[in-house]
Amino acid sequence: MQKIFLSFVLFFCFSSIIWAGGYQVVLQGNRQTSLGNNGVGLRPDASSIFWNPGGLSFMRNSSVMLGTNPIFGTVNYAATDYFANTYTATTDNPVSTPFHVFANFKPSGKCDNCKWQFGLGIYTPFGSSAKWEDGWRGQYILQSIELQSIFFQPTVSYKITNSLGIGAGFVYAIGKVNLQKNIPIETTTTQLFAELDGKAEPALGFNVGLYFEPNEKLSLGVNYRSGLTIEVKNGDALFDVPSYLYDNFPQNNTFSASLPLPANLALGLSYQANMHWMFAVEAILTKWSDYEYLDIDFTTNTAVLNDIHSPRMYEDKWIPKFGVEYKPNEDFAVRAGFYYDPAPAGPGYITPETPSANRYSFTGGFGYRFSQKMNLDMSLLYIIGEKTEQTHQDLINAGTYDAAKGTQDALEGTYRFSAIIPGFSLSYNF
Amino acid sequence: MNRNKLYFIPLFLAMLVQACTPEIEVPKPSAGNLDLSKYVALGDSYAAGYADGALYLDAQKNSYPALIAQQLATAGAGDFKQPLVPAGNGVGSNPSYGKAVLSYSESSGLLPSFTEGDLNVFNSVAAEGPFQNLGVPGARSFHLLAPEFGAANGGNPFYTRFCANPGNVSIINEATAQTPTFFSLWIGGNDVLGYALDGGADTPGNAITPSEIFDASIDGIIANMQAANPTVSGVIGNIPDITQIPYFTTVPWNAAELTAEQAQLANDTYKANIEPSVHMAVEAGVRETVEAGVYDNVYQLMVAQFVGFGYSDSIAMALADATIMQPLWTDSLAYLSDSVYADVSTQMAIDSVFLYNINALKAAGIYPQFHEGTNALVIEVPVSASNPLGIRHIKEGELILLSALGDGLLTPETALLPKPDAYVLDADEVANIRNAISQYNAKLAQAANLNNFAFVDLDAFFKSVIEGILVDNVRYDARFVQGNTFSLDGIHLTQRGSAFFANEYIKAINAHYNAGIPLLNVTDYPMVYFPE
Repeated sequence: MQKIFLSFVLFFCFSSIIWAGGYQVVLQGNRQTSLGNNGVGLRPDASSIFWNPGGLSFMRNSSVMLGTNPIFGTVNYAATDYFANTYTATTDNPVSTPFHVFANFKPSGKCDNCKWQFGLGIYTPFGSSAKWEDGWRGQYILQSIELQSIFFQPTVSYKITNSLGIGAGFVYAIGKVNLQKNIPIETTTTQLFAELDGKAEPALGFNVGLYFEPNEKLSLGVNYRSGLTIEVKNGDALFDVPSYLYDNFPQNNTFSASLPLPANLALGLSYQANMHWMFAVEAILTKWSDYEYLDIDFTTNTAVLNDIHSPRMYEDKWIPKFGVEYKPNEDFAVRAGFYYDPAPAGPGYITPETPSANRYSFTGGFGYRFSQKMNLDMSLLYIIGEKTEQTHQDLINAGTYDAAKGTQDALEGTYRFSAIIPGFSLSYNF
Repeated sequence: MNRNKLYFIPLFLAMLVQACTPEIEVPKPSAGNLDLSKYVALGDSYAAGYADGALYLDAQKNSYPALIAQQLATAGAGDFKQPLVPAGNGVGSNPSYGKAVLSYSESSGLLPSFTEGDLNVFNSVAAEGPFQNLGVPGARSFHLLAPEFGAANGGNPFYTRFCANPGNVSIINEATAQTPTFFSLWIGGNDVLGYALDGGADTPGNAITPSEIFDASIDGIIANMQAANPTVSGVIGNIPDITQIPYFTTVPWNAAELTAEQAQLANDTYKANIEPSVHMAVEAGVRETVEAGVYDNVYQLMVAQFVGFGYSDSIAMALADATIMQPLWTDSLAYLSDSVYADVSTQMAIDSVFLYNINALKAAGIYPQFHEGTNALVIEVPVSASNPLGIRHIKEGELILLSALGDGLLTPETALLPKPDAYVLDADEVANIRNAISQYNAKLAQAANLNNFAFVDLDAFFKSVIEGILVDNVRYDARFVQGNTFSLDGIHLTQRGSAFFANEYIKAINAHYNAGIPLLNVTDYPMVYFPE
């Protein structure tokens, strides 16, 4: 078991991660994902470590859950800044694989009245991966980005009464970023490019929740996941240029940058109408307003290499979620859901690394219990973003196009995001 | 079996992604009111795709007419054939040289250097005609109407190489023979450029084309096009201010950056060359004045003496004339002159006149004066009463040609020496060029307007380029190499620069003919290639 667990983690640590709204990736349990990503007020499973540590104390046994959701995502771009334009570009994103591992331990074994539960979660709640087609129109703004984070969360949960549980987790986050863009200089054989590559300093946060189960039918939850800032210090700023350009693009240069990973406050409930039907709703507030600027400071600046201070001006957003489950029998469940993920940033701030848009997410899936010990949850998530256009004037107004400074961080035109994300979680109870 | 099935999962998902990834709908290109079945381009080296000092294949493929045609084709335009040259470095107007390439050396940094010219370019390709790109490097407005422009001897070899019947048909004949439904016309640059590249020297053949000839040529070109097809449509471009292209702006007028010591050395050098001769001139002048004064005084005294003896005035003057010629008297006059000249007050007068002259020369910028920091360069001018030295500091707004750099006139050793006239456009010459351009542009706008053709204000667009434009996070301006717009000859466009100009044409065409021709994505086209 341990060996499998380790190889699982190692495998996924080296693969990349992608997005949901903004650069948040909410894929931490496929039962929840298939229910429109409802999780806070749901009856607990091991993934409550992420969704609501308060519910963990209601787990009837120890368990381990492993899961992943490979993302097949695409962003399409059209140069609609001139009425007759037909130019389009698209991303050629590698399939990215967010994952989750949850283990909860019930110290006193199988007892219905024990108060304490302990757990560990390893998951990837933020990330972004975009690789635009080679030499696309925005190549001098961004050619590709990979932003990854992995959260480690030891958790404790306490059952205050038979109907109320509280839980808290301590978050230790690591991450890394890789960003590439072309320099507008070509030699006869190569396109020069810049690459920023760095590991984030470990960051700390927490995850607290309250879970209330007043009767057999109703369950409610409140969850707060703190925001944290990942910071890269002394990342490598690599410039693939001939030696005569070293004065402009110094070698062995480094950079520092920081990116806020926003806090989330979620309120949710589920209602088991009868033995067949269950309904869940949730609202989650993501504090995107922490993301005001993208700052990248180079250790050595030159005439052509200035620090980056690019406005992002994200706004706090509520995300509503709905889910429904039908259980024809004890061992099988069919689920469906929907959630609406509003754009954290408007026209002018739609940047090629995470083109912000209102996104509609449709989910479906099933759960199957092989035995008392083993069950499998599978989900399919389809995200379709609204067609989102920003004009040249939007960029000027936003400050993402600044002729005086000679900087441009976003590209005028129309963007459309879509993704298909299948996933599974396997749970083992003991 | 099971394993085989598993392979289908990613494939299935990939197909699902394809099916569920909504494309963004783009407009269907439309020709509007245009009949695009036969587009013909009339123009000069810009139209031909000349760049980096040569006509070569890669740049020719992305000439602005080829790029316009490529976009027109999306709306159903017919074929557009160019008289392509063989692959390689091509050949320049100086046939020894092919295209320039940027190269790097430790000692001189990044500099353009020329490749060897490929004379095969001049082999006739007329058999592959007719061609729709009829742009010819070096063509002036009136050349388009001149059959002799393609003559094998004395014609323009860039036209001869594709001319259907050298010496007997003109460019406009080749156009009208194809009965074009649409044409682009951008001509007039060379009508002033020849003069400008010659430093305004007005050597025969390089004079500015008089506006009457230019106007008549434009009228003639349009009349021919309309005679061939009365419903022909067209787009006419005007002429940007060529004095702002890198060939004329790369060497700043105040290019001499000096330390205090260098300035002193330069001042001493110019002083040693200028002041002795000025001093000698003053001395000679004063000597002349003194001698004339002494002569006059003595002569008047003699005349008075003779009158005192009872002679009439006229006889007294005749006697004085004869007497003063006697050796005794000439010696005496010389002696007197010497002593007056040697007098302290005369020497003081010499010094003050000298000082006055020197200060006047300095004040007029004629006597070069250098100081620490940036200094105006020195140019040669005709010797005249107001400029006895025949040199002066260049003034702001006057231009040093890029050829001064290529010809080694701006090395540390030569930078402060006076620049010959052929490397300089002085204020009058710049004004001549601008006046001619504004006359041409008035004609071109009027011609477009009267004939209801689209008009593309390239002059206005180029003004915005001079200011600098930021497009897709790249700055474009009119600086040499760094500006990304101009190729290594400092005159012609990079291929990306051509794409920008082609887009201006397309915008004008769309606006005038209610068409929907898509713009080019400029970042698809190369700029100056840097060495490895």
